[in-house]
Formats: sequence, C-alpha cells, structure tokens
Amino acid sequence: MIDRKGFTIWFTGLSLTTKSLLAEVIEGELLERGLNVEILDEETVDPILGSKPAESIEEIRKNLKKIQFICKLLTRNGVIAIVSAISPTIDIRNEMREGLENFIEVYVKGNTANQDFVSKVNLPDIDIEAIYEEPLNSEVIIESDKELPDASAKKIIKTLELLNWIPKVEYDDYSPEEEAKIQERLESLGYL
Amino acid sequence: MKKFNRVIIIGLDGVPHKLIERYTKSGLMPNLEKLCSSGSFHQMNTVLPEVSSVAWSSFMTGKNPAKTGIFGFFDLVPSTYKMLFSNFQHLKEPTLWSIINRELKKPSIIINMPSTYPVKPMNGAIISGFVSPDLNRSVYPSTILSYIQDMNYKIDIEPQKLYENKESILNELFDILDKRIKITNYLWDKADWKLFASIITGTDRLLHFMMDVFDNKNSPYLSTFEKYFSEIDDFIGLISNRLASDDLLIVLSDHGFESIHYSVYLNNYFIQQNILEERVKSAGCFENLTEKTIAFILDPGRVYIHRQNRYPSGKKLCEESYLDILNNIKNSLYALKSPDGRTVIKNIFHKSDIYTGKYFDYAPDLILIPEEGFALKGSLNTNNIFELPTRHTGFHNCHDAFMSCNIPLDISLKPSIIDVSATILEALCIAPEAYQFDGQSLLIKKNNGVLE
Repeated sequence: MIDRKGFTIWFTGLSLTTKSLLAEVIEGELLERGLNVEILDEETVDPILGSKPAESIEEIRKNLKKIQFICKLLTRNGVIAIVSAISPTIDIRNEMREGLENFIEVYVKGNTANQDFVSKVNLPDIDIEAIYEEPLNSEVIIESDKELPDASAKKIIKTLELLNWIPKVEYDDYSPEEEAKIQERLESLGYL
Repeated sequence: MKKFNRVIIIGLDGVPHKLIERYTKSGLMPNLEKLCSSGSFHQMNTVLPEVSSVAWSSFMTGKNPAKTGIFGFFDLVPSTYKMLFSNFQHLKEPTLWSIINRELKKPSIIINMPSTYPVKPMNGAIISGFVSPDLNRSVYPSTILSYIQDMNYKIDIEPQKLYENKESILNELFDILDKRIKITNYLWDKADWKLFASIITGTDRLLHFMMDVFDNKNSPYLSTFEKYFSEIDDFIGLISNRLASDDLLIVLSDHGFESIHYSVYLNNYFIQQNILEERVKSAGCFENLTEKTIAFILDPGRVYIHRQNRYPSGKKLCEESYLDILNNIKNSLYALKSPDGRTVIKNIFHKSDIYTGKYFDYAPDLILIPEEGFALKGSLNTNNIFELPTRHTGFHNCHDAFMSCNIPLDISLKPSIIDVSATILEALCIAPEAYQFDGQSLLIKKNNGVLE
C-alpha cells in the first residue's frame, strides 16, 4: 500500500457552486490511486455531530471547529480529509488553515443568482451571500459556471501532485497517433 | 455467518448464455458445467447501451452509466462535434478494488479489464484491457512490465490486419489466451489479495468475426471455434482447483451475442427521413452536420437530439418541442422495416427510463433496442441503410449475458451486471449500502438478514 501523509482539502464557496460534486470527484480520483480519503460535507456531518443550524458567525465557527478537529485526527493518521463547507469569512478560513498541517483551500466560485433560498433554508437568520468574503489566498480557484467538473478536478489534482502530496500520474489525453489507432481498432470491430 | 475470504472473477467478454448452455450440456465445457450444476447459472441483463466499455464500467463500480459517465466507446466532446474516446480517467465512480483497499487495506489483482487505460497506481496489480494503445501505460506496477514484455504479451488482436484470414485470427486468439492464462498464474500468488479478476476478451473478438460458426454445424471452423471454448474451460478448471473453501468464484460475461441478419445504418435512415442533414455526403464525421439536423445516432443505438447548449449549431427547443421531436423520432424508428419486411426496432427507452445520476445530462436522449438479428450502427461512412453481414457476423445484445457462481444465488428477478459489485462487496463483508450501488447483492440471506 502507498504510505503517504494526510492532508486537508478545504472547499469553500456559496451553496450550489458544485463544492460537493467536486469533493466526490476528487474523492474518487484519490481512491483510485490507492489513497485513504474521507469527505466531510457540512450538510451531512453537522447533524451527526449534533451541530445545530448556525444563527451567527460564531456558531458557524463553532460548527466548523468540530470538522477541523476530525480533519486533524484523520490527517495525522495518513488519511486525506476533504471538507465541503461554505466557511464564509476569511477569518474563519484562516483559523481552519492554521489549525491543520498540510492544508489547501479550494475556492469554488460560481453564479448563485436566484438560488440563495438554499442558503437561507440552512441558515435561517444569516444572509450568507451578504457576509461571504471572497478568499484572497486560495491555492486553487474553480469557476464552476465556466468549466466542467472534470477540468476543475484536474486543476486540484495537479496542485496536489505539484505539492508532492500524492503520486504523480500522467493523464495526458490520447495522442493523435493513439486516437488514430483506437479509431482504426473500433472501426475494424464494427463500432464506428 | 457465511463469509468469503476472497472473490475471484473470470470474465468471458461477450459470451452469450445460450452458448454456455449448449457447451455445458454437450460436455464441451465440463468444468463450467460442474460450477453451474453445483452452484448457479443464470441468464443476465447488461446495462445499456450494450457495449463492453459501458458494461465493464458498470461492473467495476456497481453504478449505471449516468453515474459512471461512460455511455459508449466514444462520445462527442461537450459543445463540439469532436469525437472523444472514453478511457479510465473519464470514469466518475470508485472501482471495486479501490473500495476493497479502503475497507480492508488489501490488494486486488486485475487482468485485462476493459476501459481501465491508462492504469492508475493502486494497491495490487492491474493490466488494462481493450482499448489500450500503449503497453507501458497499461500495466501497474511497472515491476511486472518486463515479465509481460518478455512473453510478448498482447492486449488484443489486430483485426484490421486479419480481416480476410480467419485462420490468422484464430491463431492469434489462441496465442493471446495462452499468455493471458500464464499471466493469471504468474500473478495468482503474488499478493495476499481479496479480489482477483481475469477477463478473457478474445471471446468477443471470436464472436464478432465467427458468430455464424456457432450456428453452422457444417462450418469448417467449428472444431477450432469449439476448441477455443474448451481451452477456456480448462482455464476455469485450473482456477476452480485452486479455490479455498471460503473463496467465491463468479464466471460471467458483460453482454450477449447474436448473429447479424442486417447491419442498420440509422443515420442514413435519419437522412432519408429529413431528421439529419450533412454538409458533404458521407463525410464520416459529425462536424459535418448542419443546423437543420434534428437528431443523430452514435453507436450502437444512442439517439442524441441536436439541441442548443449541447451542440454548437443545435436548435433551441422548449420542453414541448423536445417531447414532440422525441415522439416523432420514436414513431419514425418503429416504422422502419428491413428489405425483407421485418420490424427493426423492438423497444425505445427515454433516458429517464433507465438512467439516474450526476451525468444524466450527458446521456443519449433515446436508447434503441433492436429486434433479434439487427446490428444498429451510427457510422456516417456508408450510403446504405441496410447491409448484409460481411466481415462481422455477430453483434452484441443486452439480454443474453450469463453469470455462474460456485454457490446458489438469490435470483428472484433476472440479475444484471450492475448487481455484481454489491454481491462481491457483501461476500467480503463490506456493507454495500454505504456505497449506494444501483444494483443489489445476489447473496442468499436468511430471514434475519444474515448471509447463508
């Protein structure tokens, strides 16, 4: 088995910006590489941890600190923790970063127009869009309304490879020669 | 509680239930017959469309194509007409072996699994199967590459070089089978694995080129055709003899096969029906579609509506117009008759009938199921709608795959290839529920839910 250190990928961004989808795509990719990985999505983890829907920034901080604690336990045992949480303020995100060794922040930026009701359902007394502070020092920025999840996932994986936190894998698309070979083969079997 | 220590999969790509039924009854495959009679033997459905890249992707993930993201050997790049050949990096769901590693921290050995090119590092060893253009990117770990290269291992035959000579196809198939078995033996004792899968894909090649032999008692190739299956049976016997009492063995195919009566080039039918228009006749590429095109076909029977947002010159359609178009196309396809007056299309599914998942939007709008004997094609390289079989005499079907196991299975409904993942994980005492598979475990449980 591949013996590697754990780390945390912290997805931040407003609701409906595909944070959770991306977290799952990255989880799948890391699992395929034989790595140990867990997703902590605030929407599913908060109820399990007994965290009530936050009514203030301080309550958001308190809920996220529980997730941060789990990340600490996982990562010191070699597990990769992927967090999907709005984590709206720079101050909160910095606190998460400072409390965790090997941390990258992924800002998932997307158009959430007309979709803010989702945030209000989860956080009834907070206008999350109004208080959300755009990250200034994210390691990766994803424009989810402009790129496909596969392309976004590649960016994140590439960053992890550059940091040497995961083994590097060549994922070049097929070369033109390879494509021609495949096309010829599929044609010869009657698939094209 | 009955639990299994290891699971062994022998895949026989494309082998139909009817072939196994005949050859186990006739005594040609005695080892498989023993497995079927002492354990179980069932006809099995596969996922749609019924091609190996889709089927094995669903086998290895337990998910339907709208979750795996694999709808065929190729697709069109979103918002373009450029062909995209699917590969392992397009698979969107974790494989069985990654789940087994996560849960049990144990390796797997995977040999000749289609659609796993280029391979990724994993706990264990993997050799990718069809379509794998470069052996160096087909093998992990690299420490086994030299052994594989030294034996002159080939992933697949090169049918384009062998068209006119069935003897050379057969010779090459025997050679590849022999090496596949050698590698299986070589890797068997290499690790303390939990999952061992060895897939024979030569069966699919044999049936593409020689399905007619299976149905023709006077064919000069019949004895060689049967010898190939006899050798596969020897391989099954070899594996069966190595099983421990707490090993689960599953032998299965990924789709069925049948003889081709006609190949049906549906895009040419669409041209005739004014559903599809090309700028240049029979140019053979989808970049050639005009804005008047309403729909087109990708192999084998995937219908895509030419909509705005999905294709550069697609039409803007409201929901009502979209549904009207679907109905018109369905009626048109159901009306299609072969030159000898037979109905071609048996059934048409809308994507919402058969797919659910994050990649639903990428799914074909309609999936066609042909009547027996009609091989549906999406090629734009010919002018004909119907062609008699020449090089290829067999083609896939979705209903006649098979599954055999060394224990009886819980088969209240016809099983599907999508059920195999949950079955394997449950056999290894990994709760399949945690992974939200689309299929279900086929292991027999007592009333209290405990495995028998």
